[in-house]
Amino acid sequence: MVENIVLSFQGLWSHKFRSFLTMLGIIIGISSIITIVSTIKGTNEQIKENLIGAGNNVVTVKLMQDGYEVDMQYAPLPEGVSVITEETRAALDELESVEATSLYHQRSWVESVYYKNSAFNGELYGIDENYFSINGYRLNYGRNFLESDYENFRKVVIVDMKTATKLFEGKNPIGEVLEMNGEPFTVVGVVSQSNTAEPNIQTVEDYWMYMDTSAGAIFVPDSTWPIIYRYDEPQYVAVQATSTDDMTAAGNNVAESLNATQIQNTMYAYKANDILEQAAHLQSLSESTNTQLIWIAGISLLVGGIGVMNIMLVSVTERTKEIGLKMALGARQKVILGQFLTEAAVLTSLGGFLGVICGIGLAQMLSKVMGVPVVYSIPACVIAVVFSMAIGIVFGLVPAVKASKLNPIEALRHE
Amino acid sequence: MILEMKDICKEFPMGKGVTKVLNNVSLTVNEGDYLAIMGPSGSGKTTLMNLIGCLDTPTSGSYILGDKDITTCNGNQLADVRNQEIGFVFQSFNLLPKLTALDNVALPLVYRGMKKEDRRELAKKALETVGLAERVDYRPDQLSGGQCQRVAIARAIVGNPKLLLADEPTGALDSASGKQVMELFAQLHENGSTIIMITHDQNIADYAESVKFIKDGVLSEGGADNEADNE
Repeated sequence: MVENIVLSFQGLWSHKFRSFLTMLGIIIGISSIITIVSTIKGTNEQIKENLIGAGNNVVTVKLMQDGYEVDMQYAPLPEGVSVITEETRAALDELESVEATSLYHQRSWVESVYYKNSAFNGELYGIDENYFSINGYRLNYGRNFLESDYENFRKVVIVDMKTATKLFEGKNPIGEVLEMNGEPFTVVGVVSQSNTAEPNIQTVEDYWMYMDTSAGAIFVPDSTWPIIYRYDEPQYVAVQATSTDDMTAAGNNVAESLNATQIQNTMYAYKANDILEQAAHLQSLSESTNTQLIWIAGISLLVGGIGVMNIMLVSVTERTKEIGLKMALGARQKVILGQFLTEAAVLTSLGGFLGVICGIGLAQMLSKVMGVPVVYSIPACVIAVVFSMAIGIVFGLVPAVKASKLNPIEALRHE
Repeated sequence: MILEMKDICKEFPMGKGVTKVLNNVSLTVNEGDYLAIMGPSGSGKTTLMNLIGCLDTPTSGSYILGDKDITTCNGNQLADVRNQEIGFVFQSFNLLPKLTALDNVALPLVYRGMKKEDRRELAKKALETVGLAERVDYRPDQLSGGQCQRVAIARAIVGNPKLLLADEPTGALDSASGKQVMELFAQLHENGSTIIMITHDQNIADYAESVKFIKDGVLSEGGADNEADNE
């Protein structure tokens, strides 16, 4: 077998140009497929990364009513749903796949927060002591909330970097006072999320778009939330999983535990916001469009295969005398069959291998020139080469059978 | 006895009917015989050679080679017989141009599933026997016609076959090279090889121990009358 393969390589090498032209169809087909697969994989990884955030592994667990999210804003806890106490939360930390949990209230696009005459438009959070660490915030300046802030219901607020730049227009916000639903809150710190995905900003327009569409955030101790709003508003639970792969399990475990202990009304249930599932959904969208591209690339493989068949038929005719001689010297039919099949398979496998290299090069170029995210898949490369080999065997079969069925006398007489 | 053919007939379809190319041919060859079969073109000698060489099977009659009944063999069995029992020498050498002399000689052994080292060992010995030990790595296009034919003879004897079958072995050679080749056959015969040679050349046939003539598909013993017919 090894000898046959070596002989096939020698045969191909002796017809370099012809072999290359024959392989070209396979090379083009395989390289397009590798390029497409690499970009699909790259896009998928990017979708996952964007949705998951860069590695905090945080899942949000929310209260749902009949499968729809309960409007958590301006509404009291529904009947039959208990407030999650600090003790209950601490118990959640012990669940499997859960690293840590944090309770918080959240309102979007709040309209009752002012700095002097400017209104704040963004997210307002009432958070516990774990929130910043779980969500990967770090303190830029000022100070974090203290235990005494929570115990004494101090009206203090921490703003994020964006709010600091937008609302306070670049002034140092520490010590400034925000009016929240008529209550004065003093800014004590500025935080930023250390590891959110960097926005892709290349022009001024991009920048304004980014600034307009992404809201800033401000944070108050959750013990002061009732000063601004109600006491018993529904709570979100931020669940940090032990690893990215455990995110779904961690979210489900927390939701189950809460449903068992906090809910007496079957209309309501806590449910984890499964980011991995969302990612999978988006990924399947991008994949289905690209699968069609793979089919189109597959057509070029078909054309390549027909080219291989054609050239192998020519080769059989050219080498009729050689086949006759080998038969006269005692080669059985299956030896001749094997020789031509091996030759076709070696030809297309080599084409597949070169196609993989070209495909990787092409994907590399796309990612450099057009910024397309690219991730190479080793299984895809291996499958591509094996598939090319299969093409060789399938399309080499007709010529090989033809060769093996030759009559040795006539073949020997062939000029 | 190495070979026994009895009442061999061979017919080929020709248009709507059939043409009988061999007609009740009987032939016996013993170990160590050196037989020449002579006949003009169209006499059926190539067909007879194809039958003796197990490249084809007869329409009727019996053919025993060694201890095998060739008429009952299938394609693969015939291939094995050709591989193990017969060494072919062709008029036009039929060497593979891309292989060295050594690889050409070793080719029949490939189909016996022999290991590469063993094949090369035997092929080297065979090339020594034909006096080409110095040319093992030469390709056919680097050898003279006579040398090519000697490589082909080495290929025929490498597997130690029961029967050497030569078809016009000097037909493509000048007389000097032809003489060398014929001397080589004589030497092989002295060493015990059984040889059947097909030729139309009396000078070549003279090297053989015995001569048979074929004409119109009928094989007959050698004789002046037949010879005269041929001329």
